[in-house]
Amino acid sequence: MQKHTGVICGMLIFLIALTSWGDAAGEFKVALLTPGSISDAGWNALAYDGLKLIETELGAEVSHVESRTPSEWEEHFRFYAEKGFNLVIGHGFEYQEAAKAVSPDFPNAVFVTTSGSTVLKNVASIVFELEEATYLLGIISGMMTQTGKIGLVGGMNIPPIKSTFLAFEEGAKSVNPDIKISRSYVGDWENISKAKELALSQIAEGTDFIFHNADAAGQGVFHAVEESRKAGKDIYAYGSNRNQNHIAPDAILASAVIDTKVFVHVANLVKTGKFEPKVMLLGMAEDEMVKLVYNPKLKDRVPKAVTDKVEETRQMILAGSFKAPRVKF
Amino acid sequence: MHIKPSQILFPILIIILALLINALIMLACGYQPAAAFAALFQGALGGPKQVTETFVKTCPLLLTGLAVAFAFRCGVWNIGAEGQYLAAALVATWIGTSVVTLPSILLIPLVLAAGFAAGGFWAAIAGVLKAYRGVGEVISTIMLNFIAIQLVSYSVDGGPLQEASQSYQWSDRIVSNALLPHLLPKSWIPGNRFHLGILIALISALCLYVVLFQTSLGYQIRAVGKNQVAARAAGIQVSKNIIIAMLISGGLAGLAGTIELTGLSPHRLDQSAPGYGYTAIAVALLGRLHPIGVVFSALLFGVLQAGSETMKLEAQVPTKLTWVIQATVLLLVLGVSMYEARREKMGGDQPSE
Repeated sequence: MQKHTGVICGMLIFLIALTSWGDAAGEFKVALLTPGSISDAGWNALAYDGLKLIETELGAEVSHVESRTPSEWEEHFRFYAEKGFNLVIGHGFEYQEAAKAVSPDFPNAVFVTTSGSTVLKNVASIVFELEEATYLLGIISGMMTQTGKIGLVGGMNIPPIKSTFLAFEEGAKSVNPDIKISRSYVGDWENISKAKELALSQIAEGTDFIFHNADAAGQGVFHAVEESRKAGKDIYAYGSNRNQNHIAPDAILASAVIDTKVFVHVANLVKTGKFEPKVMLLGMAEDEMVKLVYNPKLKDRVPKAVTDKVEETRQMILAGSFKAPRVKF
Repeated sequence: MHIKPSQILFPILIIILALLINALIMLACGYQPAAAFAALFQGALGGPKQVTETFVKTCPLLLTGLAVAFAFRCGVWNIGAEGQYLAAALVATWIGTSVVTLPSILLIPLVLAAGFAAGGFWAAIAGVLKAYRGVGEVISTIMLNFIAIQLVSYSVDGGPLQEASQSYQWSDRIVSNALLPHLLPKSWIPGNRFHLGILIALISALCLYVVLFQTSLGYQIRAVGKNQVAARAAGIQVSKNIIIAMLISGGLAGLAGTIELTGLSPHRLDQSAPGYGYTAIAVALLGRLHPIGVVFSALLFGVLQAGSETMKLEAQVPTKLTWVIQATVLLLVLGVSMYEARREKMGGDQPSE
């Protein structure tokens, strides 16, 4: 029996050796690490859409993995780099240290983190200026609120989230200096029921506009707003990172959206050899990589004075005469 | 120690059954079982780097598995290896980020000893409660798990151990003097992470075997586990043995937490609960609560863990599906063990050592 297992093991290893022969060099390969499930219809789904677009538009071979814990981050970066991937994207601020640790061992691979400021010879970061869009959402909330209270629900209390919240608050205060803003954090990116509780307690305190930046947990905010609307309250939610208007078409007024073409843009730089290690700030002025998308079903609820003010600010951002505030990180 | 053929057959049957069930699940979800399993085997055993990686994954499972097995031998159901692991990691982080001036030769043993003590203390709480107040250890150890999880969570998110810039929910990096050395040169096996902790885990298994079967302490502990009334009648102090068993059990789980932290990058305490403490129950049962048996069952689960990592990366099987696969194996092990235990009880067939 032991002899047989030996033979079987041998055959298996041979087969595996054969299959790994297929990784021919020369092909452009891109991998994506996401901190959560790509079924979140938000932050992670956005990156996966981007990866799929890289596959179809650039003809790249792509691979994706959920990379949740700090011990996995470095392991996964290393795995793909060893496999000869040309570009490995760590989708979030948290991947910086792992990229920094792995990059010297693989000078031919490029490591990109989305948000962050770590720049080395083959490490760069893309920073989406989502703040520009959340600032505009803040303006809408500040002008439209009837209770004078608006709320924010975040996944974790980390700089990229705080930054979008800061811009939202500044936007609201710019049109309504006395506005009261409450901030809550779920503590992770997936606890939908906790996010819902947080949103419901904000609503109970009189909040009538809620912006979330909590990935999958954000669904809980939508549930809370939908339920409260059914109960007769006049409140709205906003979508974040991806166009989420369709998720709760009767409750989401607009979304702050990052365009998936960001990912193709960066992958193309690497593919064509034009990659430069730097922090790539991509916002509205850069071909609308970031934008505000109204929910067409609810757009008529937004008064013209509000849309005019939003458009005016947007034009200022496009012209470069106004910078949305952001947290330095 | 004599081995019955059924003891070898039993794990093999479980694996075959688990593979079959999982093949069906994967087919139902639209993935290729053949490709996935090929990736699993390649990831765990496909080359020298992969084999070292399997040992890396085996290490915490072995230590926590030994922890659970040792307590079970004394008739204490320690479901709290997870909490003991985290309590130790917490203390190790505290020492490893604050005591910076000692040389490695002193600091490494200090951190390991502190981790052992912290894990032992965490388990002994449940041990004392059981020994003197009759509190069910299944409940108390699980409750202590939650306390440990929340303590860690607080410590690195606004608490005293959060890293200096307060931007990440994790601790500062453990100082390099406290890190476990890697034993195999990188020039032999590029990228390997075969650290000292793996050796410590294997030695622990040997020590535990000696303690259990060659010392009077081990004899007393096994006697308490078999029949408390009889042990008491024979003049064995039941309470004392329960507490000692929990101290050692928790210490081993604590060692696992300390070694993971000091042996593997990024050497920071974070909020993710690893779940080893629960897998450890299956590891212990599959290893028949015997230290040497636990080595082999931990290796088996190590293969599964290392392999499922590759299954994700190579065969693009989603993370959650790999969890389903691991859970199926776990359930099968638990189910079959319960069935065997029951049959042994009814048949009066004493389990061999």
